[in-house]
Amino acid sequence: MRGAAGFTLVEVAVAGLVAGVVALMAAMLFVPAARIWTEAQTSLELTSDAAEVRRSLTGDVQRARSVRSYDDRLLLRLADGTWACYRFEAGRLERAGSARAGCRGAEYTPLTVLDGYAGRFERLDGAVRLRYTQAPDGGTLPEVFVALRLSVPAR
Amino acid sequence: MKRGFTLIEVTVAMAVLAVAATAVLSTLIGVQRAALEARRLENAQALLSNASERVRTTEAGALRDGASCPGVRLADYPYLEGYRCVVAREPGGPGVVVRLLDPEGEVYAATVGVPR
Repeated sequence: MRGAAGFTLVEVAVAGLVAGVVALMAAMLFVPAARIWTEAQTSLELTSDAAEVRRSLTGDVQRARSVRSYDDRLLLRLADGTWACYRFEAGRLERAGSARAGCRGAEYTPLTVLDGYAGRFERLDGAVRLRYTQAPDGGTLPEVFVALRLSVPAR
Repeated sequence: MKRGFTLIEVTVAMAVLAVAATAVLSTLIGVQRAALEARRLENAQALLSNASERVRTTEAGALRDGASCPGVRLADYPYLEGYRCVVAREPGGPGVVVRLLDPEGEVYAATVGVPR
């Protein structure tokens, strides 16, 4: 049908080409942008996790009257007679507080938002140390070293 | 008569898109820098906290002015490359000042620890 409005084959081809170029440019922008955003978010969450673990562990160790460490678990008997317990479980560091010895039956709460953590608790002379052996971003995190304040029997 | 976009309109649209893309990328790079700075500050806080706690487990006589912080390995703090940690006796007090020095030797952050 002659005289009908529409696009010619050349117009459609050019429009498709331009759309392809724009889409390619958008993809080239999107991929690094998404990577930067993900890395920044992970980094901020790691920072937040590390600060939260340090704050919690420091407070508990400073109030501890006795310490038991079992590699990836730490049991602290606090000055008020209650217990604070830490463990690495499914890539997260968790804490439980309980009146029962060793936090038996207590519910653990994750201290970390990210998973992919592993580490070891060590009872040193007059101090407790947490050494991370694995972090979610594949890097390392500084240790947490806390001196004991109260009289603690050697174990 | 066919209607469509002129070359100028298309050029202006592309330029606007390019500026918007640049703005988005530069904002994201700013976010990334802020995240790295946060990691560095967290490293600095961790170092000072660990150093002051280690001072607490060290005999006072073993700490000399200008000596490196006891038990602190800077290799464990990857965001503090070139930094140094030194201790100095607190004038007139029982404490020890723990100083984190930046690569230029200026005090970046400091805290006080009390030796055993």
